[in-house]
Amino acid sequence: MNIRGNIADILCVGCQKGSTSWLHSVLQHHPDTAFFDDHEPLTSTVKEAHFWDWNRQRGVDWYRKLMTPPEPHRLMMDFTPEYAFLTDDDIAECKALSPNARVIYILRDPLVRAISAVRMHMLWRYGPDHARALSLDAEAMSLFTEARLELHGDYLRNLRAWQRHYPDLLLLNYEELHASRADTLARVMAFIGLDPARMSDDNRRDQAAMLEARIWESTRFAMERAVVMYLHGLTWHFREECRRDLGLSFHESAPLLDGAA
Amino acid sequence: MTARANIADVICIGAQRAMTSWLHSLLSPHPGFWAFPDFDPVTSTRKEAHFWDWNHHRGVEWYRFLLTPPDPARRSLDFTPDYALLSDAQIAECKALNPDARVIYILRDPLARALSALRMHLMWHANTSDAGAAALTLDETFHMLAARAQLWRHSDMAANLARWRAAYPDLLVLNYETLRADPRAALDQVLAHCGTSMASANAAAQAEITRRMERVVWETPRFPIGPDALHFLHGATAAARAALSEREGLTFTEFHALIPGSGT
Repeated sequence: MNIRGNIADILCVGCQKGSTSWLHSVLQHHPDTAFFDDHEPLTSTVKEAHFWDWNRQRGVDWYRKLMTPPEPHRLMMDFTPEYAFLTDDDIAECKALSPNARVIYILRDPLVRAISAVRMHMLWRYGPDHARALSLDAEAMSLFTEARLELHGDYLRNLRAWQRHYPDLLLLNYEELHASRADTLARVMAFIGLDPARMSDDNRRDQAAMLEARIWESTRFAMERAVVMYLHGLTWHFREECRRDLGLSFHESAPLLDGAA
Repeated sequence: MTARANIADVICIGAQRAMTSWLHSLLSPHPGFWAFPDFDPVTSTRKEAHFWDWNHHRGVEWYRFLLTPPDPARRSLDFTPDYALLSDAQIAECKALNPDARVIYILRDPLARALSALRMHLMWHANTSDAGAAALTLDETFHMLAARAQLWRHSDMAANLARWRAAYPDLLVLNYETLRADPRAALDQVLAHCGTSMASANAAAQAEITRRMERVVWETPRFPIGPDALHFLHGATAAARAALSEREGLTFTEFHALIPGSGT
């Protein structure tokens, strides 16, 4: 498909906490994909190049060099969830640098995504042994701000912004993805143009293991119910917009909301 | 101001549940203003003409006829809080019909405003003003009431304000809390914005205005709200408060009393 017509060939733009790492790991097992070397702290592992938010000042050639695959036909992946809320100008530049990139956006239940993101920030702030339940106080508010919930959660705005430049973007619902991982993966590979026949037996075995694997979830720090309900309100508009404008509904949060008082 | 340069000379666009009825009750006895006659249910009392949402099909001449004062020098009032939601095109028509109108938008803490609006709609829905007879919980009725109240669009005061300010750059923004704290100062500010003053009213009108100043108009029954519904509403209005703080430098404190532990 590509002899370096793009800097990035496969872009996954989120959502954060939407199994983007899982998808990255699964696609690694196809011989025609590739990922960059770990440049922590400039990149986040081998997965997130963070060109527009962390590394733009390093210049396009830095990004191009980072993203040069071991063999030119292999499709380079940049799975940076912060790209979801890039400005229109940044996305336009992305389009100029990677005109034929295949862009994937995974949407997850907005409340569950927000809770998961807050827990990730709790882990970073407090460490894994933190035991106190989060209450709805000033400290919680600062975690919410840090997690940029209103940017990561603004699915419809983000989707429309990316679709302006990549009209054929692939939109996935996290719930459907995990309900039928093999089918979804087949869809993703077809969307990217990855031929399953090119996979070796080892590739297939490794990928199949990923399809069975448990998803890594943020540490389940306790939260008071008031926090959960606040986040439910905070993400309500995003949920409603998805239902109204995209016909997408999310059910992952239903158990959290049982027994409303 | 020329005789009848505008259909409406003073337009208060909200916010709903932010003492617009109270303010209207203070201006209407002032001889410099005029409140159209009550045509309920075509209008809402003498206060809300609802031209753009309910009566646009009646035509501009209907609106002009309704709002024309007996004395052309009096400033005709239209205090319709739903005007806050008008689109750019509707506001452009408003500007064409009312080029010199004095526009007022009273802003209120988004959580307190939303709760008050929900209570008003619960009162209508449950058909009771007995605060012990109904309650707000986070259920289908809650979302139905939120939809009826156009809760989220009314909450987005920063966006509403931006649309109106584009047409009326000198629009007067009042903070409900300032108004509650010093009603007389707020009234003077409104009167000055409209090009008049308390002193230009006769003694009888001044006495009536002063008497009305102490009244609370249109208080809703304080139906209890469950903790889930309250915290949901708090989260759902947080972005609106942040936007008003960032873009307008406005501080609202009413929510602290509603949310224990949120500081003072």
